[in-house]
Amino acid sequence: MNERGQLVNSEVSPLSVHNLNTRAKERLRDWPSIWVEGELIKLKHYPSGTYATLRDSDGKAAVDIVIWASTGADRDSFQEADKVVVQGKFDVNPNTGKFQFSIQQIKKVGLGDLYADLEALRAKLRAEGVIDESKRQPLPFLPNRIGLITGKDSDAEKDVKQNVLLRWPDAQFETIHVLVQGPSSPQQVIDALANLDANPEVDVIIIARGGGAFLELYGFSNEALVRAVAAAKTPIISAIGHEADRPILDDVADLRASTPTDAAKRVVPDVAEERQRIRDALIRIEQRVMGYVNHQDELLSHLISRPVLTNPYTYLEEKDRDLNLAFNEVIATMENFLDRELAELNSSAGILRSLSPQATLDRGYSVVRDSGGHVIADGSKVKSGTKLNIRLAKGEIEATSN
Amino acid sequence: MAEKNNDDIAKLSYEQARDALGQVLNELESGSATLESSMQLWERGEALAKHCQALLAGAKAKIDEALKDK
Repeated sequence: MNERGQLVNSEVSPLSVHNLNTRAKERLRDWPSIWVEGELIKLKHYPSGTYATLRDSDGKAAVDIVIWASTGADRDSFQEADKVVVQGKFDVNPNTGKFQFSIQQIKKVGLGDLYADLEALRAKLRAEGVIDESKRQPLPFLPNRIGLITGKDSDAEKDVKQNVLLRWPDAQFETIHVLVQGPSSPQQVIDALANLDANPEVDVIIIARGGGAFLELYGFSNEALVRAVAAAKTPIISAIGHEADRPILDDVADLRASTPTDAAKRVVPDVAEERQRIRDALIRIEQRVMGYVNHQDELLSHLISRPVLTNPYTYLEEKDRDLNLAFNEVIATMENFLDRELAELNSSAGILRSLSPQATLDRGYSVVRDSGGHVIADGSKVKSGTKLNIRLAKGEIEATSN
Repeated sequence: MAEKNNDDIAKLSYEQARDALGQVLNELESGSATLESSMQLWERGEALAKHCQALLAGAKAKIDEALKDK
């Protein structure tokens, strides 16, 4: 060092590595304490202190931190993915040259802040159109294969599978197990989703997790995860059990189920219920058809019972009766007419007889006529050989004059 | 002969024959006819009456036939 405290350093007087590290350490120690906000990951607790990485929530920048036991902080209360605000200074290990942020104070970020972050993200995604109810896809009536993303050996998995199989025993699953909480959970869900979305056999995907506290479910509001769900081509059911505060996943999913069991009820139809529906439909069809047939039958019976059909002769009989009447009338008229004429004729014949010379002939007289029909009154005028006709009371005689 | 004079009667309708008979009766009733014409009128009257009776009998037979068919 020279008199101004500056390092005399040149090619011929280099520093040792230790010196270098020590100098960096001394320089950084002069920095004032700084407050930094981030997410804790890779926590490792040792008696001497807790090592971890502090990361921005977008995961892009990180720094190693250490919380020495000597700070008196309640180190055990911190877990993976906790959002924290820390105050600390940079420190360099003189031996390793490792650069870390040495924490003097650490505080969990209040839930109020997390809620505010979540709502801000929700508003942003809605403004961008990532959350848009009109983009929701309909679920298949009966899925070919159901994609299931859930925790290994979880109740959520059992609930989904048992209830689905209860309703539709032939249902097929494609299950991918992921961590459903903690900092690496969102990326695992994203990877699983990409895998299932690319599988043409899978035509609906359920993301399921049993109930949990707000912080445990925070990963299901992860921006990258939410965007992946919104972009997926396969319909997605969100089945995250929760109480008051819904994760953003619920807003982008095509269907929001309240629990894994609810998701099971929504994803497949109930086979018994469907069969009952078919039976009901058949009964209704039968009733309709029978009703129609019966009604028509009644109409037809009514028509058939009309006189023209029960006795097809009715019409003819009527006409026949009219004809008979007319005929009888004609006959009666004719007979009357004949009787009258006959009576008149007989009377005329009677008169004729009374006026005729028959009475005279009956007394023995005869009338003699020539061939011209002229009555011969003078015998002297009759020549010999003249043909004569003699009319008697009965008959005639043809004679010849001598 | 008398029959010859009355050959036209067969062609007469009933009404014509009946009217002719009426005329014969009128002429006979008038009493002005000679014996000769009386004989002729009488014979004609008989022929007309016979023709009328035959026509009426034919009509009656047709009616009886019609009634029998019923």
